[in-house]
Amino acid sequence: MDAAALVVVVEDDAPMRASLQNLLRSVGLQTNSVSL
Amino acid sequence: MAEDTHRFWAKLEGSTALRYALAPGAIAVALLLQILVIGPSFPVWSPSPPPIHPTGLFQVCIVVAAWCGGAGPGFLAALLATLALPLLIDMNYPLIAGFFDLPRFVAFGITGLAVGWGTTFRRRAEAALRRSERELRKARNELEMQVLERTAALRRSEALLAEAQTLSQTGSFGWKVATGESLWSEETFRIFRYDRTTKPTMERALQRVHPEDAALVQQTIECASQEGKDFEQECRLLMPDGSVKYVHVVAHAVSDEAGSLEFVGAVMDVTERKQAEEALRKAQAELGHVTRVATLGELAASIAHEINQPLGAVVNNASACVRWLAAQNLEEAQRSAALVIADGHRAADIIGRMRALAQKAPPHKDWLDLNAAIRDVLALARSEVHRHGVVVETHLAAEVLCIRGDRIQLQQVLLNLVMNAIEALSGVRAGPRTLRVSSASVAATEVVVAVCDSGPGVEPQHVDRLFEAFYTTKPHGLGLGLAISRRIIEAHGGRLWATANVPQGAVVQFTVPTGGEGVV
Repeated sequence: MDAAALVVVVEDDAPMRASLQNLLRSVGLQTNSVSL
Repeated sequence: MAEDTHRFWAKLEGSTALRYALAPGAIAVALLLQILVIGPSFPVWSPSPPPIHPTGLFQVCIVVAAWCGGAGPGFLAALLATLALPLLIDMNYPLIAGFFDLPRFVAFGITGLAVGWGTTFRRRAEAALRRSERELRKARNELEMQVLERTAALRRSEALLAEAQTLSQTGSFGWKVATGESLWSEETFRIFRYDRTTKPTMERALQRVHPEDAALVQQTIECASQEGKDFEQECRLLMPDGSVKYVHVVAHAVSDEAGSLEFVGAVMDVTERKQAEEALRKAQAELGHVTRVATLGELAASIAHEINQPLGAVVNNASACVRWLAAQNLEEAQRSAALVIADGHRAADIIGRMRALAQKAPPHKDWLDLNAAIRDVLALARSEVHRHGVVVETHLAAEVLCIRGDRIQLQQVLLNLVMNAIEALSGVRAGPRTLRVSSASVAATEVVVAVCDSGPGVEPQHVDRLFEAFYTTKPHGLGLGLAISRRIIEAHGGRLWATANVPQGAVVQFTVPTGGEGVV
């Protein structure tokens, strides 16, 4: 997996969004998030 | 016999001719007696004087004629006797025109008139007395009839009153405070379950009062007795068999001529009404619970999603925590564990809110923050709001809106209004789907909460019917939500009503007093 890849999390629920970002970061992915 | 005598005298007095005929009759009888029985008078036919002097005999006849006929016949008899007397006796003084004895005429006339007038007056007095007696007797008879009629009417009235008291289960009583003298109606005896022969007293009535109500009743009666004021009290009675009755007592204070205080009142047995009210209250509570659960049922899919969110977040954060631990990044692992805990609490809160609304608890008053209740409801409906693409605006009062009420019932009302608004907005094809919830204090005595939507609104002719039970504009609605909501708000001492929103949609708002009186 490309470590430089950026995953954008789109989720309206803030805790869910935070947990997804946490999980993605734990596997070494860079994340960003967008709320609806 | 007495009646016959009265009739004879009445007939005699009524006939003038008969009365005047007595005068010549009496004189004729005297003449015949003198000539045929006593003997001829002297000195015409007899040399010796007769045993009864003709003058005396005529006097007797005049008296009889006057007694029976009155003054007129008496005077006529006197005249006839004066004319007849010279035929019987020889006069020793000159007569007028040779035949009229003036002194004897005067004596006879005085006798006739005196006896006649006396008799007439006596008869008139007797007649008046008889008339008075007759009138008195008639009046007495009429009075007796009236007494009998009124007694009968009074008895009938008493019977009707007793029947009415039995039907209405209302007894009456009187109580003289100073002497303790009491008077109870039959129904009062029945209500207190005392034998009719028992002497009624206030102490006996108080003996029946439920021990838990006794102090309050005693205090009420003492206050009313001291101040001489009317009183009204509802209390329970504990019967000898252990059953409980509810009675409503109303008493009016009156003072008699001597200034003594007396209470006159009524005791109403309201046990059946109380039981009916209790049954109604239970039924309403059941219905409220059923509709609340039905609303939660409508929310089930959304709530499942709402719970799924923190659960998913728990799984994600727990997985991340494991990975951070494997990577020996303790700081991130610790943060992930904290997020797991926070998400767990979040899920628990959602379940807690649901359980609080679904529980079947008896209504109870408590101090609560209305803004917090609104936020809880909006949190519960959040998924439903998102599912229908509704934008929620809240304009809650900055200060804490502290009221006294039933949290579950008020949240039921709020949830019902929010769900109605969301459903109305789901039909909007064009334009914004906006739900605005606001709260504010009004004049420091009450709080107003408004739920506005930009939906199609309600036609003016249907606004009043919205709050009728079983009236609904929804295809699958029961038509109970708003009816129950209004009952709940009214039980809190507030009002619930609907108006049109500007420029479109509807506004449903309610008020509750800050004191929160009257919670059921």
